[in-house]
Amino acid sequence: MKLVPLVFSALLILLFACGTPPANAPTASDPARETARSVVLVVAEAVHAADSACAAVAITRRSPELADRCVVAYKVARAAVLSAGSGIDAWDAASRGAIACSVVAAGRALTAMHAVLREFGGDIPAVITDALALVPLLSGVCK
Amino acid sequence: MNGEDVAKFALQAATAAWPAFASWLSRAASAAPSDDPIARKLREILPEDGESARAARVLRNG
Repeated sequence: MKLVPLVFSALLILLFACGTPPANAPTASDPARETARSVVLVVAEAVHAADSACAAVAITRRSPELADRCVVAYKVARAAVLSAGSGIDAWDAASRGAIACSVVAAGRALTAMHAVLREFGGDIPAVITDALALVPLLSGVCK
Repeated sequence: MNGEDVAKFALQAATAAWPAFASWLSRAASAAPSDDPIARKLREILPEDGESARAARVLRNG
């Protein structure tokens, strides 16, 4: 029984020694990175919503050609969003301009999906217009 | 050392450790949003095979 306090203390020391986040871990202190992260997440949600809405309209109208138009835009938007995400994870000087240009490319593809939905009378989720309004926050950095 | 002593010691140790634990929890919570790689989350939101692609296949296959 005399070992119990010793073992308990050792466990507590281990918990805080090994479980504490490292001092040099990235924190939420870079507003530019957090802004880019937020915009990219909203754009990704908008692309997902546009893809779902487009699939619903295509099914309703029994039009694989309509679905194909959204598939093309979805692939472009997805690649651009994933590229922007990799840049945010790396977050160095070289990646910042690339992030902005990727977001612009994703915004163009999202605009194309928005146009298809308008053309065929599909519901346009609000997150799409929200995301398109946020893209200019980063587009100025794309040279 | 009987069971009551062990319980008392555990309570004292937990009380003493609480500020450190709260501090650790706070740092972990504030660091989490930036430490979590966004690329993985984006892949979850946007799978390679989107709903339009599945719809196109369904429509072509009847």
